[in-house]
Amino acid sequence: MVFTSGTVKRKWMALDLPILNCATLRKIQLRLAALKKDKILNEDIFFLTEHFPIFTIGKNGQRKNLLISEKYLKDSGIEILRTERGGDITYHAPGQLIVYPVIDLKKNKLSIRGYVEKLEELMIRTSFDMGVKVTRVKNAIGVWTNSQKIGSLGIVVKKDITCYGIALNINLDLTPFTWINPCGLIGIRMTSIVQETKAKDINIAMAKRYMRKHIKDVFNITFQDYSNLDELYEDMKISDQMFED
Amino acid sequence: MKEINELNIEDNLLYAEDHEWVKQEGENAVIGISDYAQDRLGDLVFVELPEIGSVFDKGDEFGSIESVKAVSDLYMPIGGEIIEINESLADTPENVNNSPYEKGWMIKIKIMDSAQLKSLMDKDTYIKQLEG
Repeated sequence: MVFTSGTVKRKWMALDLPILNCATLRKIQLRLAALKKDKILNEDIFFLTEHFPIFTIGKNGQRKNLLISEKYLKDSGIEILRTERGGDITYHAPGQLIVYPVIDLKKNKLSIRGYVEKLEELMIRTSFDMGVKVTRVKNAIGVWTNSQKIGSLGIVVKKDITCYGIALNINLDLTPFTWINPCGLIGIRMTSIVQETKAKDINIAMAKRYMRKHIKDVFNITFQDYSNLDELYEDMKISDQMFED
Repeated sequence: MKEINELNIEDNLLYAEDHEWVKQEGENAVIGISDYAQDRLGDLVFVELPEIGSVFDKGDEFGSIESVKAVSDLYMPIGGEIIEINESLADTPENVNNSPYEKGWMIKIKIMDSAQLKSLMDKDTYIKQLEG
């Protein structure tokens, strides 16, 4: 008889979604987190996706870090949304890889600080795979090339359940970042994998492939894939009614 | 991050599962977060505290803190009415990191039911929970 050694890895549910409205995913995450907090749902879940263009501000972020006028904002057609996460203002758009784990930190044996370091590690490794060396900078959470920021981070934790996560710039138009003080930092510039490498063959699908591998390694987990939300809800035995306000 | 034996867990306080500490002062109690909690949170940049006069049950959210781009909630270790808050934390949230039991205290409450103090842990029990 063969015995395997070591502990059994936790299994997360992986949801790889096409471009999704930030407000929609916000609602889904918060509801899943509430179900987890109330112990109705035990599964850990993570979302891999992109958002339509939007500025988001963290819970304690400041509107003054949006440097354009209301009219200019309106003319740009880009929405702005205040969210529950930490951090200040940032910009999301297609071409930026979003990873939002909705997980129980305690069950995954993670402290908040330890978890944030692992999220940074995901961005460092994924960037490296695509030819960009990035690092952490003391007192500035996120990941950076020499002096430019390439990946941002913001989370919220309620009773050990976390949501939101990371945003790594792959191949998006960076112009709207110049309309804000990204993360509340004055005078910093944002970059992307494509801007750094000039490689034309880099895209989100490739970034997702690398990211998926690193999520497994960094968190020492396995995952089960779901291609849409209905499939996920069915497996979790939760109904759409649970998502009604 | 500090090892468990490097943490400063004070003798004369009671501790909750969510890492808040409670110091009883007669009918009142002072509340903050432990050295373990501040260490695992990282540098605090924002502390949000409740209004004086608010009343909370044990386990209710009474505020939130932000560290390392992470917003986390604070929970009442026992129920009570807020009679004082540490207003200096608005400008110096780092005091929670540097001095979690003194300058970093968060709220003072009028205790609702002193029997709830019995649900809290002493230093030794709290350290055992941290090691567990």
